[in-house]
Amino acid sequence: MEIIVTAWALDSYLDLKHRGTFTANDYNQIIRPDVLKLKRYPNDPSFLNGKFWSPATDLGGPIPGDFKMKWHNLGYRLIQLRLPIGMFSNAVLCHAYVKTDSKFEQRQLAKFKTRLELIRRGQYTECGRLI
Amino acid sequence: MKALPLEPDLGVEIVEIGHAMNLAGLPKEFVASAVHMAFEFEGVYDLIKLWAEEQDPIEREELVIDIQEMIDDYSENNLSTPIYVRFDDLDTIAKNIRAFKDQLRIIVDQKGGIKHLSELSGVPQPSLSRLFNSSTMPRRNTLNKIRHALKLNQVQLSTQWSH
Repeated sequence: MEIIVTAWALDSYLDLKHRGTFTANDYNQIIRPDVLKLKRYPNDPSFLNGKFWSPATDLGGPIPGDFKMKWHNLGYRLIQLRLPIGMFSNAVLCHAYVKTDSKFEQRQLAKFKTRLELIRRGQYTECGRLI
Repeated sequence: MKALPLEPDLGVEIVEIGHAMNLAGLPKEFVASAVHMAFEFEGVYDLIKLWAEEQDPIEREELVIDIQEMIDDYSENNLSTPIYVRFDDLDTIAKNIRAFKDQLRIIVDQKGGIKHLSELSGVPQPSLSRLFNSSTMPRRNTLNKIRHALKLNQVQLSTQWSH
């Protein structure tokens, strides 16, 4: 399975890094190795851990094809980082965000639903593949 | 997630929210685009519904920013070929984006400020503020709106962007 980096994922990386949400070390030692596990999806045992990987859900229940990769207490700020991922024949990374409150989460999931539909229509920009 | 089936109640609800957005003073272009997208994308319907139900003005502003993002996503002419970015170049890219936005902000301030730009461009003020405060890549659609609003020629904007 290939891991596709969309412009949304890239933008969120730039923004979160600029804000000091995570360091280069956090990315290289924790985030990137975890995301690379998608190459072995679903065979890596991490995907059985609900605290690491779970379906994205909104008030209507699980959103088909949508999943979230999760990091808890990441970095010195102990942030809750979430990365929505559209699972198709490849894994398509969308915009990462820091989980704060339920209202913010609802907005992120609504954006993810929209972007997932755009991905299905081929209306997105690919900026690279994680290798 | 498929496009919403057009049920009468849903259609009326979307139009009513659009009317409320218009009464709230949001730019007409924004409202029209938001309503159009809500008919087609369940996620955008969710966002405008959240906006309609929200009382907190700050939270409402955030929802406007999110809806404008979705409008920009939809409007972008997605390239048939990918734009590959090297990971090692990301720090340089972030600095360049920041420098470009700072330069553009100077021009915006010289020509009347963000509020005036919002009135001219139809892009909600909160979205423009977010644009200049973040390190994300500016959308082509938004840059074009700014360019037309401020009567910048393509060369001016391209020169800033290329720098």
